[in-house]
Amino acid sequence: MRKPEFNISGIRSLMLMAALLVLAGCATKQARVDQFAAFAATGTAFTKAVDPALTASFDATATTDSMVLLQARDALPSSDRLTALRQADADLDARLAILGGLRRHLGVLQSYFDALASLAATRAESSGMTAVAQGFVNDLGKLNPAIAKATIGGNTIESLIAPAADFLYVAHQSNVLNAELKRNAPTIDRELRLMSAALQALATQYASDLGVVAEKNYRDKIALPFAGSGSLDSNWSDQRATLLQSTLDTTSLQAAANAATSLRTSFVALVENRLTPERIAALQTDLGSILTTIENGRAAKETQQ
Amino acid sequence: MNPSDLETMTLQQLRATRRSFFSAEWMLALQDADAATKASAAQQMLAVNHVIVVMENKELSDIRDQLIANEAPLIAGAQSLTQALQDLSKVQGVLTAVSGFLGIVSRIVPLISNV
Repeated sequence: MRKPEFNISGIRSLMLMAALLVLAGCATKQARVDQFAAFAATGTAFTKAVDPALTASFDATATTDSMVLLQARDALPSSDRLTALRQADADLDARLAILGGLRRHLGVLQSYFDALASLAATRAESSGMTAVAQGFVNDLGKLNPAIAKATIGGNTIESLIAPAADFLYVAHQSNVLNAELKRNAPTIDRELRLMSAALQALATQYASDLGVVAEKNYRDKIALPFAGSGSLDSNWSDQRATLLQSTLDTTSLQAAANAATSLRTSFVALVENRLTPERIAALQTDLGSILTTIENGRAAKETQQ
Repeated sequence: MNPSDLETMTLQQLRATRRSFFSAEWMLALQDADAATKASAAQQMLAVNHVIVVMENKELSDIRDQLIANEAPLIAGAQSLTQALQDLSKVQGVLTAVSGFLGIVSRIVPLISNV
């Protein structure tokens, strides 16, 4: 019986091909893991941006509620005033409890995104795996010096080990993340839909509350002085211009609601493996602007009061 | 019209009414009214505001309850991911695979180096 003959150049070609496939596969898997990392980082930024939006929402509701009480106060008999105040306090306490529940829930959502980010962001090198794999190579080199000298396609075996270790690490990482996505996609989708609905409801309430504040300011500083017979302040025109513009600035909560919708769109893209760095960058810019918008809205409200 | 649309429309109308209580026109209309009329207007404004806040609270609490119902799988997912990260940190499973890979390399390299 004839012994099988090894075609050495064929083995070299196969190993080179395998090495190239490993590198190409590693790049593909890494791109997938990077999508998870970007989505998770954006999710974490989202939960952080929502918290001040909840505070801004309650501030606006409490301000409007107090304005209603103050306007009613003079016309109410003193016996009815405390009743009105107690009722309004109870309504706002209920609102605070609901917002507290939403805030606590945001903590749960943030923990999820943090866990996703931690797993997606780790690299083989930082995990210590590359170094340990290198140790294996060194040990093998001592046992068989030919290994240290051998090359495949001009690359030493040693230089190919780190990419191979990376590939194995990233492949495992990618499998875990994809399995998590498969298991929990409906939950995350439902979560983002509900967050979007909650923020949309808050945005509508916020616009309504700020609308009342704006109406009162316009009435007291612009309309009533103008309708009256007294002289007008020298800055009446400037104040009118300022108030007319500030009444339009009710968009900060709407920005948060839009961000929730964008985050869900990104999630769908992640599921469909088409989440691009451009989309992530655009969403992160939107999230950054939410905080700025909320701060601007707060400053504008203080100017009005 | 379904109940949800009806609630939305009612809330919109109440919000518009509340805002109108803060208009210059309403204030001027009440200026010369008697005390009983002013007290009645104040009570109505308080009632409108109360209903608005109650309806808004209901809308939000409904969503909050659904979010809380969604927490169990989220918490389980976070725990699963954390466990997977710990497993990766231990690198045992991956090292086994690397070790197997190197075992193959160690068998092939002598063949190549004999050329």
